[in-house]
Amino acid sequence: MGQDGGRDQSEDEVSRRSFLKRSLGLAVVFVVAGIAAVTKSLWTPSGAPTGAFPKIKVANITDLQANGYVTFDYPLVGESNMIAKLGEAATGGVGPDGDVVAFSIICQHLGCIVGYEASNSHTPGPAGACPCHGSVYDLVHGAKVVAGPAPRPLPQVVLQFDEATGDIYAVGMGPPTIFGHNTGSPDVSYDLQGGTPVTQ
Amino acid sequence: MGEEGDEEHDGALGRVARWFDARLGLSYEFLRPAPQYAINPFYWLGALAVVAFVIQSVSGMLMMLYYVPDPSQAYQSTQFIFQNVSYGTFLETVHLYTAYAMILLVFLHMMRGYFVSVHKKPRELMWMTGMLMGFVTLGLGFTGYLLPWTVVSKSATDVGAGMISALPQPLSNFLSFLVVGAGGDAAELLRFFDLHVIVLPAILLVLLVVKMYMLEAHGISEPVTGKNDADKGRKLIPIFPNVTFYLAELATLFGAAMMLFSVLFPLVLQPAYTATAASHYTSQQPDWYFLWIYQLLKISAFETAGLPVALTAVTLIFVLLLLLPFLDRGKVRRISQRPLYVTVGLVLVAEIVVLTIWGYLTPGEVIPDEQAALVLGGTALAVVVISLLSYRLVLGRLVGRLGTVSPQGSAIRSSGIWTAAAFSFLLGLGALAMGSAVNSFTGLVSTGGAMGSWAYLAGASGILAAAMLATAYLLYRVDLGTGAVKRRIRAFEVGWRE
Amino acid sequence: MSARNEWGSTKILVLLLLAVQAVTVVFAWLLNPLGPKSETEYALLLAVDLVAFALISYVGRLGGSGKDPRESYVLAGSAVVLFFMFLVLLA
Repeated sequence: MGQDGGRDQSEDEVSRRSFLKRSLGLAVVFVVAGIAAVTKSLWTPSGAPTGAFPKIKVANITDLQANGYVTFDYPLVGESNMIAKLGEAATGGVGPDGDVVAFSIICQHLGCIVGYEASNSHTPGPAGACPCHGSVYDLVHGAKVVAGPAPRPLPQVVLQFDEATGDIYAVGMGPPTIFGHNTGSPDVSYDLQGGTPVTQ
Repeated sequence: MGEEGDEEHDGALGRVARWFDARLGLSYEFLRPAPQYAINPFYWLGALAVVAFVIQSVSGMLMMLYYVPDPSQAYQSTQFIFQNVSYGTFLETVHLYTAYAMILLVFLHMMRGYFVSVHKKPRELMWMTGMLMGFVTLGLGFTGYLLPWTVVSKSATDVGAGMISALPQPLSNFLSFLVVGAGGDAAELLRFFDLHVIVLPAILLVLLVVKMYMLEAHGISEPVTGKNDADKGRKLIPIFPNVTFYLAELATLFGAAMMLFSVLFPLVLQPAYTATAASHYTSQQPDWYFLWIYQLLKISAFETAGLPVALTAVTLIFVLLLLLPFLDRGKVRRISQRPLYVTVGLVLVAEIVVLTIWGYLTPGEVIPDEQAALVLGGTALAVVVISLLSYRLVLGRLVGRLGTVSPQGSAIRSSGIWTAAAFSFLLGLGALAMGSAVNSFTGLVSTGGAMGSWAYLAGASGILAAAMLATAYLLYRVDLGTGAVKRRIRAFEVGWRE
Repeated sequence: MSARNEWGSTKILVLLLLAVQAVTVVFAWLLNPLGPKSETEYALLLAVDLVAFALISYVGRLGGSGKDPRESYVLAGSAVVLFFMFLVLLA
């Protein structure tokens, strides 16, 4: 194939063919590697089906006065959350004023229980303040971190408000996961693992 | 492979390659070299169908780890794959679209083989094996469709299962038991799952091995267009690396097309099947690849005559295709010399396409006989005319360049047949057009001016006018005139030899 | 035989395509695999990977047997790669 012409040409031929051969081999490796990424479906744990979050009644709207709060376990027994009527419209809030919100009170930093403060120097409205290392969460704005070492917001409980009866139900969790459940993952199905779901 | 290769294989990689080669026998010439003319995408439609099958197997195996074939969990587990499994939606989407692609590729592969006469000696059994593989592929589509257990899929499958039970006994009993089991949703779903996941794939693989063996024995069939007669077209190319990489190129481009489809048409899971939801869903119909059969069954003549008659008719089509090598026994392979079978093939393709599109336009409606005759008959007539005319024109122009034309070809060129055919066609077309024009006119008068009827009337009138003009022209051509016009207008001489 | 500068540009093309492939593979593995957006991105990255391979294979197959790759195919292939990469940025 490459034997016509001078020695220069056949050397060129050889090096060209060798280059192409190696490139082709590398290209095949890249294709296989790219396709292989789909096997992530095998070892990234997938958690329980999202439909499995329990639905429990947390409180009635009349029980919650402004700046009062109630604690409850959700979605697993022993994991505390707080529901409060903030007095001003908040992200993810339900109820007639859109100010009833609920969050996990297990601090995203190291797992201490977060306390409720009606006002705080770092936040415009009510805040969650952790006594251990000083993390402060702005409850009006989705419990985002405004002070302290916490790396991410508190997980918000998804609430449903029944207008006829005034009952408020917890029906799910928003991201991120509750502390201790593959902490930091956006996959909330981890919240259902490692414990007993609450029942009404 | 020769001398120049040795220099490159001296390094560590080369030693590893040689180690494997000595033990695996990689450089043994397992598959015979392919001729240059085979480097052409049309020769690889079957291979691409196999590539699609591989994609199905891999995506299917990954999903199989999460899917549960029980009616109470089928939908949830499918939903789980969509929402909670990493790349789950991607797997589902790719699996569905590649299934469609596989069915389409199998159809194109069959039609391509039909037109270039691969079913002639010595490849008759290859054709029949291929037809069986086609049936298995349709079966894979049918069984897979049920698995998500959505309203749409369960309803469609119920229609299909109902059709099986309408077949004559004992065939009906046997097939029903095979496919549905002892009865009840759980048995049905489990059977479908088993068929889809192991039985049908195993049968397909066995048939594939058989077909590949025959392919190796016979070699790739030769081209029939006459362009590649030169020796250059027959130069042999080694399977590895050249042909292998050509296949790899086709396969990766096909894969990329599937990716693009998945991105452009993201898949959303339909609602779950419940008895109440299904009772509200009245427009159930099978998936697109069966729609042409379903459309045939919706014609009112078949509705009244009963399902067994209709199904027998459909089965007849498949049986005829299966037995094609014994129907089309001529030695002639060139397309230019097989006007009859090429025309029949074109009519088949056109009818299937028309029926499928029509099926989408008329979900759940019974088709009146006249309309069916008009649409199907009209399509067939149009295709026959265009096909034979093309043969006429092309053969007329190229006579002399083609060399010898077979007797069959010269019979087509004889004007007597043409005149008779043209008259019959125009008569039939005119009658149909008149009938539908009257039909739509009365419809308009009685029910008022719906948009569809106006278009129908306009179309029918147009066809009627064209038929009348063509009849006039034909009469002129048969020289009922003085011939003075013919002498002066040369253009009318094309294709006719009186 | 192809002229030297044609071979040079072919070499650059192949190296560029290999680089594109490498980048897509890295991104594919780094993607967070949950969520509809990442599925779309993965599909597009894989598409880029595959088309780049097809182009390298075409050039390699023809280059190895001494024929010139058809310019229109090379241009079309490169255009498709660039188009898919553009779609990745959009998604």
